[in-house]
Amino acid sequence: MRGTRGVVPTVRMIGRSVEEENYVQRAATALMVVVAMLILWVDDSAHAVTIGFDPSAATIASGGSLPLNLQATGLGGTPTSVIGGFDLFVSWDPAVLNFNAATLGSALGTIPAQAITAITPTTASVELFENSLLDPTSLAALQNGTAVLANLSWNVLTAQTSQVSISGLVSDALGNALSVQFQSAQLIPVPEPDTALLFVFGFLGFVVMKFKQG
Amino acid sequence: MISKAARLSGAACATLAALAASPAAATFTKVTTGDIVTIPAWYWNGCWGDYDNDGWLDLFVGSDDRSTTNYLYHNNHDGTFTLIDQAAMPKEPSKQHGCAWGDYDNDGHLDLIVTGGAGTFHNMLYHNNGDGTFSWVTDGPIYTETNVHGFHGPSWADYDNDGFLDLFIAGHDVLNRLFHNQGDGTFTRITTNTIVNDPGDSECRGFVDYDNDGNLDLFVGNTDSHPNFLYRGDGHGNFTSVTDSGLSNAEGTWACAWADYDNDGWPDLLLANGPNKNSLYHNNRDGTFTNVTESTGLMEATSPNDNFSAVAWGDYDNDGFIDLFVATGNCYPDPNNCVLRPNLLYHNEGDGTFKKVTEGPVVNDLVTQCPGASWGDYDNDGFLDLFVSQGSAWPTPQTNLLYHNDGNANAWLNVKLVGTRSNRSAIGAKVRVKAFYRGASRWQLRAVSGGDSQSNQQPLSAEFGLADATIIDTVRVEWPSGIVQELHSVTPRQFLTITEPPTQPEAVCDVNNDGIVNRVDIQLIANARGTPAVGPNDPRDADHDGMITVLDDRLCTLQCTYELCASTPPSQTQGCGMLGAEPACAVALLLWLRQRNQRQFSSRVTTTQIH
Repeated sequence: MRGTRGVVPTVRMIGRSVEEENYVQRAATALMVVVAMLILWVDDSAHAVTIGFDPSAATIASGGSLPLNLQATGLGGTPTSVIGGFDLFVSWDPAVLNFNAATLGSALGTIPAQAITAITPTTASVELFENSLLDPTSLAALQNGTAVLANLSWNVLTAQTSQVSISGLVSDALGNALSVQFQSAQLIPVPEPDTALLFVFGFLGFVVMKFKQG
Repeated sequence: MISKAARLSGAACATLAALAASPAAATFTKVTTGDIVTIPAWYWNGCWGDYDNDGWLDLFVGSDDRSTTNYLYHNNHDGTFTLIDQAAMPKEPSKQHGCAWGDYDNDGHLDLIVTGGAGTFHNMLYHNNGDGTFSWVTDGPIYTETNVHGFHGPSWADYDNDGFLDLFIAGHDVLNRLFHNQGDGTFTRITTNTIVNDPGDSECRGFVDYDNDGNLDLFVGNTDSHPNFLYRGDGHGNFTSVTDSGLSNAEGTWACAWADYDNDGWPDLLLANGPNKNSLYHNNRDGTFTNVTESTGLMEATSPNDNFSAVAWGDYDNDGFIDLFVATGNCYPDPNNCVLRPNLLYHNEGDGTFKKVTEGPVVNDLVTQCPGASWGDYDNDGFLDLFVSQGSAWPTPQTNLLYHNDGNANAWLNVKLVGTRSNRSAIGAKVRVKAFYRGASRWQLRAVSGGDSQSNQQPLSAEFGLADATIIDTVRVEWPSGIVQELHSVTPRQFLTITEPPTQPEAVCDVNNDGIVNRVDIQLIANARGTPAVGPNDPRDADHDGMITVLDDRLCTLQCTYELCASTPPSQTQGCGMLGAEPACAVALLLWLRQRNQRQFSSRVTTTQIH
């Protein structure tokens, strides 16, 4: 069809020349691109702050330990784009992990002089609470870009695929709810030694069989 | 209770904010057209006031010409003014040596007092009818009191805290006058009060709470070898003469004005004397003052026949430190032997010193006699413009001077107060602002004055320069009624109207009801996180959503009485040492005194975010 651009539907207007039609379609395409970009931009700005783990994926082995940093990214350095307080729940599969310890970072001020804190663990989750006592301007100066909110560690009970997830409520420096995107940490088991050995033997057998057939 | 004025200069905010990283100079352009600067007369004073409540400053200028012309200029909202129809404000011949706006009957419309000057001329009290016209109040002692020597500067002040503005008038070679507002639109002359029984030759006056005890005090400046007077008020109409403060000197004082030039939370005092010097007195925060004229760079010499005649404080470049204008050319004692001289403008350097401005029309125009000077943002651009009246007793009539401030990129805040329990004009209220700018967190103080200098009045709004601040942490209003009101996280570059709450706001966040919000309260709210609020007035539920969350904890943190939600004032926790040695100490001290003395004051303030 003449003048079609991508997925933009074409409607031939009566009495309109081909050049005019092309012009209209180009304009429509440009408009749609702009709208799409705007939507993406709005969507992105709505989740400018992300709270996740560093590393975002980790291999675990039975009997080993798992350290993860809970960190926020996308902090803007203004009172409405930084964290003034949080009440977060970090949860995991208790068959896989056994909570060991957690310490809160200094992104909201030094502890205990400049923040109210609480760490409340259970078998399958830990609540991390912190409210900064700093004024908005000081907080904005303290947080720009990435900030570590807490350091956590677990003992690995069973190495199997799992994840550590986050939920909760975050306040900006002015006491408003901050729009945050939470990202879980993916846990991948390290292969057991006997499993690896079986894999090697199987591979060798496959090679030998191919050699004989050849 | 709190409303935001409609005028927010948001369009230019982003650009200006980007440019505001460093202090910037401000220049002035002399206004040369319009009646306000082209009609010659023997002008004495200038008083800015929005008499028609349209949000734009109008200007009354008093003249000694003994004509029946009243120079009241209506602001046309486009940078020009129109002289009002004389029928709207009738006048009998008078010398008009002083003026002051104040809503004495609390009807929401600014009224005007114009003093009669020397001779047998009457003081003129104009009642604002609310329709652009004024009625001349001819019954009562304010009108009938005359004297051949003269009445000069008037000041409105609610000296007995009954919610109605009273009137003080400085007397030239006669006792000063005090008129008590009866609350029904009438006044009675008070003759028994200390402040009207000290003989002097009073040219200037200024009410202020110099000792931060919550009560208005009064300074009166005298000429002709009379010592100056300082009176300490008790808030109930009684004053005590203070003679050991360091201010009771005979300096030939023509004009005086209070301002906290060093942002320590305590008002300091500038005297424009004659001849030969200014005097700047630093408030020592213990009831005494130290003359710091020389160390601050304000020592200025004039010829023996010249006197400084007017003074006006204003942060003209919005850098967060209040600057100083001093008018010169007050020929005395020989009015026939005067020379033309320039006025003086001093820039506050922010380190406790001032630098004399040498460029621009404000300091290079040669003037005659300028007993009137007043800063006012007449074009609502956030920058203070300057009006200077000229003429007074000069042999020939003179035209006034108006300088438009060209502005810069610095941030600002303009606060208008509306009293309810206090007098409606909020005269006597203090506004304190805390913001982070120029690398530090600072408090600034402005007091709403009912008249100062020799015969002038600054606008009734409080103007703050905020340099590169992006947000104002706290706006605190200390009303004459004793109510303390706070706003937090306020956006700069706006005109803000704050109405006094009828009672002390409820104690949101003060969970243990001990009169302050501190770490104990914040911890209690944190402990209750995730639980429902108990009723609609649960002090832990700051956002009133029915649940206690980290958001409530954070909101209440913003309302903590002291830094870092401490339980004691900074003077006890941050090593203030001497009373008020830190910038926030004055505020903290005031709060501490109030908490100690009066339960009413210890009730925590509800703050409302302005949207």
